[in-house]
This record gives sequence, C-alpha cells and structure tokens, in this order.
Amino acid sequence: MEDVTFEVKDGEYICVLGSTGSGKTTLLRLIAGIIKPNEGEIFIEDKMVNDIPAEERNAVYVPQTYALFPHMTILENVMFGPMARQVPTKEASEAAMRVLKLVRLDHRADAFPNELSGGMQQRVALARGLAPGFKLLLLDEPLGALDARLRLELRGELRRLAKESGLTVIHVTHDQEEAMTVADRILVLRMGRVQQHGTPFHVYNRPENLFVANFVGRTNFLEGIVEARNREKSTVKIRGNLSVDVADTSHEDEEDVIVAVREENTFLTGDDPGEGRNVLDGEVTQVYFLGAYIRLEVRLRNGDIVSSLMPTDILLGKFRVGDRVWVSFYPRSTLVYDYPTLGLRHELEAY
Amino acid sequence: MPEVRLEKVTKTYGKITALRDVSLEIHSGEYLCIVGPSGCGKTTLIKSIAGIVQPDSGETYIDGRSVTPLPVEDRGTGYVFQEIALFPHMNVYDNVSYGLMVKGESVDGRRGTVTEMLDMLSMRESSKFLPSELSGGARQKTAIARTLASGSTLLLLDEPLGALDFKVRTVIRYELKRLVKELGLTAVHVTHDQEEALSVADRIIVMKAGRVVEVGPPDELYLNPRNLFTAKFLGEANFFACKVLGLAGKTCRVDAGGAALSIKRREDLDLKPGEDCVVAIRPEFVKPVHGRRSRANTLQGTVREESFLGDARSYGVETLNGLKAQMKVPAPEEEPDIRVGDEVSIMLPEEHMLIYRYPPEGLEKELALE
Repeated sequence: MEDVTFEVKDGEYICVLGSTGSGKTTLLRLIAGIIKPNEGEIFIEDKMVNDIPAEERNAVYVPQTYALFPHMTILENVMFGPMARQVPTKEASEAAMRVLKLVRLDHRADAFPNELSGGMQQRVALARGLAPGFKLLLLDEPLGALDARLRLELRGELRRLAKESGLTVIHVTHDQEEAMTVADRILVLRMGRVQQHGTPFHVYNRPENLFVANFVGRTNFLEGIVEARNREKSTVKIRGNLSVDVADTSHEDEEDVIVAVREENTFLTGDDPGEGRNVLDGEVTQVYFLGAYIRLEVRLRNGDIVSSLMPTDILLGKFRVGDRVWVSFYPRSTLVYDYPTLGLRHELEAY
Repeated sequence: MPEVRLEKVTKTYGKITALRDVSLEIHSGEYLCIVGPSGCGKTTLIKSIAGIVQPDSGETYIDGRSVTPLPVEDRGTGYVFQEIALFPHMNVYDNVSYGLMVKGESVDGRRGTVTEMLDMLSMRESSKFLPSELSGGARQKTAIARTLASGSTLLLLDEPLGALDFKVRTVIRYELKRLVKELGLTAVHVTHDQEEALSVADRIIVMKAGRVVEVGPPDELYLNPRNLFTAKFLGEANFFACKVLGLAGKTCRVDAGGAALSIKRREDLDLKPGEDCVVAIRPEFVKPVHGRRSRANTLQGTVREESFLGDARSYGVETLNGLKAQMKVPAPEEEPDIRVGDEVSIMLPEEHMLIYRYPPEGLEKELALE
C-alpha cells in the first residue's frame, strides 16, 4: 500500500477493484483495524482510528473465507456477534431473524451450515456480519466462492440489501463486471496504488491510464506515433504505414502513443463503411460466441490484431474465419495515452 | 485424437446420486465444456473419465476400448486441476519436463517437447523462474504445459481457470482453446463460468442434479435452448408464466398476464390451447420502442431500475399488466436516454422468444440454482 488517499461517503457503496496482489485485501484490513499502517491516518466518521482496536471501530469485516460454526444452527451463528457484545438473548435473536430475513434465509434459521448450499452459507456469513448493527460493512470478495451464475444473481441482492439498510459498504473484488453493477464508485488499485477513483460510468468511459483501460472492459490497443494535429483532432501513424484519426489533441507531433478503442466501439462491416471514421481492412481470424455478444478477431493488413464485440442479433452468421472485413471506429471513440516507458505489455499486466 | 463414450454411468455417494445414468459421446478433436450449478455432478463426471472416481455402474470407452476397470495411470489422459500443484523448488522448465523424466525420456528428447510447450504458451522467457515468481495465470499455464508435455492426447480440465482473476481468465481461455486445436487434442473442460464455456466450447453439456439436461453447440444452446434450465443457466433470461391461447401456422399465441404475445412455434413441443406454459426472452433481445403506436408483442411499462454495465445498460421494466422484464441496451459512450421512472414501450421480438411446457414442480423450483 503506497500513499493511498480516498474518501467514502455515508451510505455509499464502494468497490475496490484490483487483481491478486494489488493490495485490496490489505486496504480492507487496514480500515478494519486488523493491521496497522506504517504511515498515514484512517478516519471513521471524522474520528482518527489508527489507535482504536478493531472491535471498537464500529465496522464489521467479512473475510473471504467465511467459517460458520458447524455445530450451531444458522440462527445461533448469526446471534453469536450480538451475544458476544452482551446483547440480551431475546434482542439478539430478534436482530438475527431480522438480518436473516434480509438475506432471505429466515425460513432456514434452524438448519445447520452443512445442510445449506455454498450460496446460502455465503449469505449466512453476510447476515452474521450485519447482525451486530454496524453501519460500515467491509466485504472481502463476498461472492468469490460462488459459481459465476449464482454470483450474477446475488450481486444485485447485495446492493439492494446495503441500500435498504442504509449501510456504507467497501467491497473488494477482482471482477470488474461485479464492481460495475454494485458500486456507486469504484477505486481501481494496482500494486498498492490507486489508479482511478470514480463512478462506474466515469471509470469505464474515461480510464485515466492504460492499466485501467485494459483492466476494466475489453479494449484494443494500437501503437503509433503522432503525425499531425490541428485543433479538432490528431492523426496517429500506426504500424504498416496506416494512420488513424483521434479526438485527442494533447500529444505533440512525433510523440510515441497508444491509441485505445473499446471492442464494442469497433465495428465490422463487409464493405467500406465510408467517411467520418477510421477504416482499416483485414481478415477474420477467430469468431467467439459469448452469448449476448459475438467477438471477432481481425488481423489487419499491418499484422495487428483488433477485436470487435457486437450484439449477437446483429452479427449472427454474418462473418466467418477467413472473411475479408472492414473494421471501423470513430475518432471520438478513441483515447490516447503516452507510450509507457517499460512497453505496452508490461503496463497492461496487472500481476 | 481420442474419442470417449460413456454408457449409463451412475455414481452415488451415500444418499447422494452424483451421476444418474449418464450417457454421452465426446468426438475426436472436440473441445467439450461441462457446465452446471454446484453439486450437479460435473466434477464427478470428469473424474470418472479420468479414472479417479469409479462409477457404481455403467461403462466408459476411450477409442472404442472399455477402460472401466483401468486405473488412472493406464488411461493415457492428462488431468489439470483447479488447485495448481507445481513443485515449488523447481523452475518452470523443470516442472514441465518432470513428467517426461519420470517416463525415462532422455535430456535431449525432453528438451524439444518442453521448449515446444513453453513456446506455444508464450512462456519461454519465464522458463528459469520458480513458481513463486510467477503470476497466477503463468502458474496455471505451467501446470497445463506440464500435463501436455507428458504426451496425453485426451486433456481433462477440471475448472482449470477457477483460481484465477477475472481478467486473466478471459485471456487464458482463448490460449487454451488455441493450444488444444493446434496440438490436435480432445479436451473436456469443466467450468462454472458460462461465458467461458460459450466462448471456447465446440459443444456444451449442461448438467443438473446428476443428469445431462442438454447437449449442443454454444450458439444453439444459447439461442434455442430446448430446456427451461438451459435457458436459465446459460446467459440471462426473463421468464413469464403464460397460458396457451392458440396455435396458427408457425405461430403460437399465449396470454401473458392479460396481454397476447406471439411466439415462434416449436415443432417438438405439442402444446394445447388452455395449457400452462413458460415464455422466456434474453434481456438483450428486449427492445425499447418509441412512440405510443401499438404494435405486436409490445408492452407498455415503467422503468424501475437502471444499472450501468460498461458496454451496456440494463433496465428493470414493470409492465402495465404486471410483468417484470429486464432489458439490456448497448450504450457505448452515450449518456442514457432512458431513466428510472420513465414510461417506455418494450418490444419482445417473436423470433427471439422461447416457449416451454410449464414445469410440473413449479417454475421457481425448476430454475433454482441451489
């Protein structure tokens, strides 16, 4: 963790997004008070908590691997927190039932953990975190142990739950889609440093650096050099003497740059689509069916590979491997970054 | 390239039946994915092909030869686990060549194979690294290379990318597919990630509660699932409980909460007027329409929820007749022109609607993932 500064507002749902080793769990454990920072200060409700032990921080940390007590019922597992804080049995049981209802497991209160599925156990762990009534919830990969399909279902519920109960949530994940759908704001971490902090819309559409552009969403990168520019646009020469227009005008002539364009903003047609956009031709090398989308890889004449992600109902059956196609994108759909000192590949690797 | 055939394979663990009369064929050179919710039996299935699990009954054939009594080591299969087990004190090169060394292959003989594997996985530059110096993705690639170097032509992949980060997974899955094709292997890949399966498989097997629900190519299973559970598990879908109104030509008319909808008729489904049925449509095929002119298969409603997905926006729409539908609209770069509270008309295109018999145990039970 290096020089991390950020703020979470009351009632806000924040996702900390990063790959393994990015420091996201460390960040959560620092806030929880499980570990201490070497430098810097942490405030909860305007109070500096650096010297306040974990159990007095009014925050609850739900670790990635939840260990439910196997010999206790679901209700007893959830009551455990309030009971440990000397809450009378009756109130503790009422609080537990209330949170079990929230996670839709009140009908399984008398079951034992091994009688429940993984998804249900995960929800019990969440209920156990909620039961003591703290308003700050720290979730470490709360859906990580679940199947992809189930995760899809539960992530919406997680957000609903947080909003209904007026909680402030910091949720750590490596899944950008999950972050995008549950968070009010996303904090992207890489090697212990904050890369970007903003709304999902902002992070997705205005990634501040190459790492974020690659980590969030699916992006094509073209290496090039600025050839000319005027007030509205620049022209970037890419490999093989091809050139593309970009909306960015902040880079100087002769500067080495990377042009980034989202795969879903990269269109494929069987003919030259005409003026107003960048048009490059090539050959389809791969077709991947992704369900709602079809993803095609195209080898351009200069050897670069560009991918296009298009809705299935538009593209189904249109192109095959070996077809000649035209790839096009608008100058306004591009983002331009400085060429990284250590090279593009190194910059994109998160890990 | 090996072919695999399973005939009525059954495996029980105490009271739990993990596999129930499973019969299937895996074609030579095929990339087959097995998907299904936790506990559906997919791991037991791949382990029974490997010989790690002995079925209670049924037969397994590899290249036409019964391997049912054969132990793991005599089946000639390569198995890659989710949990990466590399030798921590050996570098990448030595890890990959280990299998060949055990087989008694000479140093020179090993070198060619190992280098080829490392090249194919773009791992050559990392050959002197220890596992602890590698990223999760590179470690798993090393494990795959090691399995392949031993020369197995039937590759069994048990959640091979399950321990990796989302982004890494989406990159490595394509490398894995390319490798299998280039080496001319037959691959069986178990995954809980439906997008992974859709993107790499030649065919997908959908399992539920120890049974094979449906088998087919990804586009077929996604666009025309014959089974309600397949529609649910692969991708997202809206489901409406309806009643059949009538059948005319190639169209089936149903009553959806008071509104009449037309659906492409299914030849293989004999529905009678008055019968309960379920109609499904994927959120990306639901289209917003402008203007109040009433059109076929168009419902009016109010936007209740909105969520930004990056390349698309998803809306929860409640229709005037009480249906709840999710609609997904591609939204590159644009600020949305639909907001929560707006009144909208949504169109459910006839060709993208799916129809099923109403499940005897109820819709909720049929669609449950756990």
